[in-house]
Amino acid sequence: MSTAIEQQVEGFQKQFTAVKEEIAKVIVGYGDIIECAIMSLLASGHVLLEGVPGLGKTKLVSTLSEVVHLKFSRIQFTPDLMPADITGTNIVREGEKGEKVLEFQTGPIFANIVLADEVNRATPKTQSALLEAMEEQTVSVGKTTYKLEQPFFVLATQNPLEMEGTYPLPEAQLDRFFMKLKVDYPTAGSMSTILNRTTRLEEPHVNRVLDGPQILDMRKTVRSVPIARPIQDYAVRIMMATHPNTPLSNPLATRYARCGSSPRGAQALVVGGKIRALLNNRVYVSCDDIRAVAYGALRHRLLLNFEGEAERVDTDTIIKGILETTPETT
Amino acid sequence: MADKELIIGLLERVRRRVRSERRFKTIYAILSVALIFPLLFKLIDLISPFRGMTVVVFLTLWAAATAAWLIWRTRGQETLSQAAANLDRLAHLQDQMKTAYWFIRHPSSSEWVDVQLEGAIQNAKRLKIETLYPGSISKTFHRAFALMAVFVILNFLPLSQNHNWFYLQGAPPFQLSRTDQALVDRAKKLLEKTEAARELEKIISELQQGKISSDAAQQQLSDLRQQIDGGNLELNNILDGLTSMANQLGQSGAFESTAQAMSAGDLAEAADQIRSVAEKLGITPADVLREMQKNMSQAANNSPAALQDLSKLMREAADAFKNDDPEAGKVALNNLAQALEQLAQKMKGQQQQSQASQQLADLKNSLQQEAASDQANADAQLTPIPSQGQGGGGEKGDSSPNGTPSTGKSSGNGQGSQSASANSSELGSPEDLKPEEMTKLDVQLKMEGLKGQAAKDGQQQDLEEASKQERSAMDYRNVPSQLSPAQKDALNQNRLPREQREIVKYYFEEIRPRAAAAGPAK
Repeated sequence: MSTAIEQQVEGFQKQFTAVKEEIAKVIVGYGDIIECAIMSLLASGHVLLEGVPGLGKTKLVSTLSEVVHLKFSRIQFTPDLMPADITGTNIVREGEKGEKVLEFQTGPIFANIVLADEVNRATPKTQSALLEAMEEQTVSVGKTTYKLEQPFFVLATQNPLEMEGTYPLPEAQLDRFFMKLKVDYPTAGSMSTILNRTTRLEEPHVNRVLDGPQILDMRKTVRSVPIARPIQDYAVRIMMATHPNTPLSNPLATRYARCGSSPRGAQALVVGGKIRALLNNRVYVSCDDIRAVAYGALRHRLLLNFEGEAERVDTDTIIKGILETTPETT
Repeated sequence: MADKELIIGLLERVRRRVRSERRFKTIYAILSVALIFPLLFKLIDLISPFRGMTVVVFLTLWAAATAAWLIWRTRGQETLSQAAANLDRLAHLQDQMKTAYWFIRHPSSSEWVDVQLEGAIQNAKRLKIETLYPGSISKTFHRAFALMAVFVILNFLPLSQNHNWFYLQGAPPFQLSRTDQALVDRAKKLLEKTEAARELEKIISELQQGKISSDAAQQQLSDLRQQIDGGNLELNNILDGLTSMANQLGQSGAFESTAQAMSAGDLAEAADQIRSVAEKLGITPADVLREMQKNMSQAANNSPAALQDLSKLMREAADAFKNDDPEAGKVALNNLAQALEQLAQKMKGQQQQSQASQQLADLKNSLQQEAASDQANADAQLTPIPSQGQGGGGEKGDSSPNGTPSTGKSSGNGQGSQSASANSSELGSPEDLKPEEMTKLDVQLKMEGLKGQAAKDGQQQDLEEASKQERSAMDYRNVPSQLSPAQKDALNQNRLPREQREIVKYYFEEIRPRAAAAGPAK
């Protein structure tokens, strides 16, 4: 292996592992979720964490923000939250000469890491305030467009849709998340460690191990990993299989899905696969990498039809069927 | 570039391995399925044997279909990309070779790609194809082998109805039933080492091989019977002549026991008696000698042509008695005894031939029955066909003559089916006749034959009462006949001698239904 690339890969792994280990000082268990959250950060994507209240979703995000040396802001989404409360607004201010001038007061979106806590408790109108920021990394207020500082990373948490006082995220909003991670209840073994850490006088302390430029470098490294056409085709086939009633669609998707993944899903598969390849000390993507990130990358992009909703079909079940039946391309 | 060629070379080797492995697996898999069909066919063949042609056609079609299937499934070859994917899977390379091969075919200036290729080359050098593709024997091979072994074993099973398909053997076009085979075996044994035995074997062989039809076989059996029966009339003449001689000799006291033995057909005993008379010639009174000379002369004069040798010796003895020459008489009587023994041997041979002829007649009748339709067979089983002289195959064996027909009684037993055959030749074949007509003839035969027969309790048996049902519990073979053995033998002949035709005509006139014009008797 070329020394420069070898060092690059090694550095990537070290930094990734360092972030993960620091977060693990606070968050017990959820190794996969932590890893996927970091992957999303390095893939220039955003993460949607779903789980019932009290599982440590917010803690995970805040810990991540502590570990990386970046500007962090937290938005608590409530039903009366307005878009301007997120993006900011023009306010009238008196100038030096006593004239009245409009000045833009930035909202909490102007940060590197934004925690959108309980994002589905706000109305869809407010939720949509994140759309531009997440995709274009800009915020438009009036006639002015403000560019967000890089890296920009949104971590949203949401309660399951069945819960009281929740508004489902619009499809366009959902599609902008790189991954949707399901936070489940911790195991009994993990619970003991959680209690030990949270019910004593001293609280775990995390170090900042990564800064903005390093993250941007890591993002470049990720994008440098080559992927062969057959592997890329495999990712495309998986994405196409989520579409109902197409030649490549999976029977489960045809039966239960209203619409499948957008091209962003395939992008997420490939970029996620590249990160996983680097973490496994490889400079090429394999089909295993694609499969490994498929659940997180596709589960929120598969929209169920009435039958799927009525039968309470889990999108993970459909993805599992797709992964089992889609042949690897050669 | 040379390193990239290393990867290509490795993939080429993998492709060859994969191809050969796939082909062998496909062949074994196909054989393990395809062999089930001949195996099942063979199992059916063991229960109900197939003809040779059927076997050949089946095996040809099966082989063609299997070959086509094999060709279809084994054609084509893997691409190098597929070989790379296969290698990745076996060596757990995480798509390294597949990626490397793709980048070899689609070169890129990226340093990352070079690193990837470098890693792939290192692995290519390390990999041992022989270890990854050890050429193991698949499970399908064992299954195919087991099926093949069972197939071979089934073909070589030493069963009577088993035919080895490896030698393209099949069931003969015509399969003799067990009863038929028993008849053939019995006839062969009786005709042992004779031309007729070889002829019979040839007929049966040609019938089984389908070279001749059942009708032709029946005709040939009839011809063979005629050939065998050629000497029967002479035997009848001999028997008649012996009876005549015995009657004549019986008038002499010295020859009384000799005459009795001759009448009983026991010529060996008769020869012993004559030798005994010869021993006593020296002490025999002259008047007895004259009586002996007279009776012996008359017996010699009344003997048929078939007994010329005996009559000549009798004349010599009579001349010796006339000339009062006891020594010459003794010599002549001893010669006569010897001639009687030779005659006994000859008659024994002819009796065996007669029995063989009977077996052939039964065989012919059996073949006729088998040629009839199933319904006709069922009817025939319910209503025994008189012309065949018996009902089913089991009855056939019971009622067929086992003893020698040298005496009047045993001859009578053996005439049943032969006389019935004669009837059927006169009236038409049994298949041409309606069952009712055949049954009436049967009844008439019984009526004619049993007229005056006493029942066990001494009362006259009402045979007509039984015959009204057109089904008699008594086998007409057991009917005692009024005809002499010679007459009965004459009836057995297909070609009747001129002098016997009147007897045959009389016989059939006697058994003709009395109210033939008025309709069937009830």
